[in-house]
Amino acid sequence: MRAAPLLLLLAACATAPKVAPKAEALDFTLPDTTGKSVSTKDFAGKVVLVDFWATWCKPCEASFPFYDAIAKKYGERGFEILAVSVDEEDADVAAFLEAKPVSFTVLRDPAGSIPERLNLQTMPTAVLLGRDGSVKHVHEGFFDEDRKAITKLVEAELGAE
Amino acid sequence: MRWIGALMLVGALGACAEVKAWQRGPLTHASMDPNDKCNLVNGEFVAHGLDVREGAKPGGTVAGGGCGCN
Repeated sequence: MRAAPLLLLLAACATAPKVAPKAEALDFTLPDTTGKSVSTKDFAGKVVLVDFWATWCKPCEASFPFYDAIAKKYGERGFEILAVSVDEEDADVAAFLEAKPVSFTVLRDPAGSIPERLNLQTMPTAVLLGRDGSVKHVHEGFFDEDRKAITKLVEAELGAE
Repeated sequence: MRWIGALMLVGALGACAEVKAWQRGPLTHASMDPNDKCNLVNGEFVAHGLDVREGAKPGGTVAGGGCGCN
């Protein structure tokens, strides 16, 4: 009985379960860096990697050259990357992209509405959508060894048609 | 005593505020880094604060007002 308050305290501090998004949660429209509305529906029939990132997130920074490379490599086969920035300030994103330009689409969600909907636990988190729009894989974080795994997943989806 | 314990428990539970993954930007600020030379605990900010408080020598390299905190 004496341990009950402690257990209650630990339960209150417990983290939420890992993200397991449904396809509907990835059906969204957000502005890109120029203010133009972009919808995930615009990429129907393609394999899409939706990456949630921020300029202050070091692993996100490390992932960008890799994402840029695979976006260029697999673009002609129907692969797209939508990188959703959750930065509060547009200026931070603009400065980041000026220093590290990318070929893929960067969207803005300063309020974190989509991460909130997905109950995102980690930055960055990448969600791979199949050509049918279904969620094929959720990848949390970004480490050097993840490049191979993500490439394999993308190739498997592109080749599955 | 039980009431005090209950109050402490409620207070402790209230301390478990959750910072969402996408809201952690401010936590990555240089001032939150204990190894950063400008950090609030042991860096130039402290030196600046001491300079202002002691008033014995000119200020350091940190910008800001006389309170030593900005």
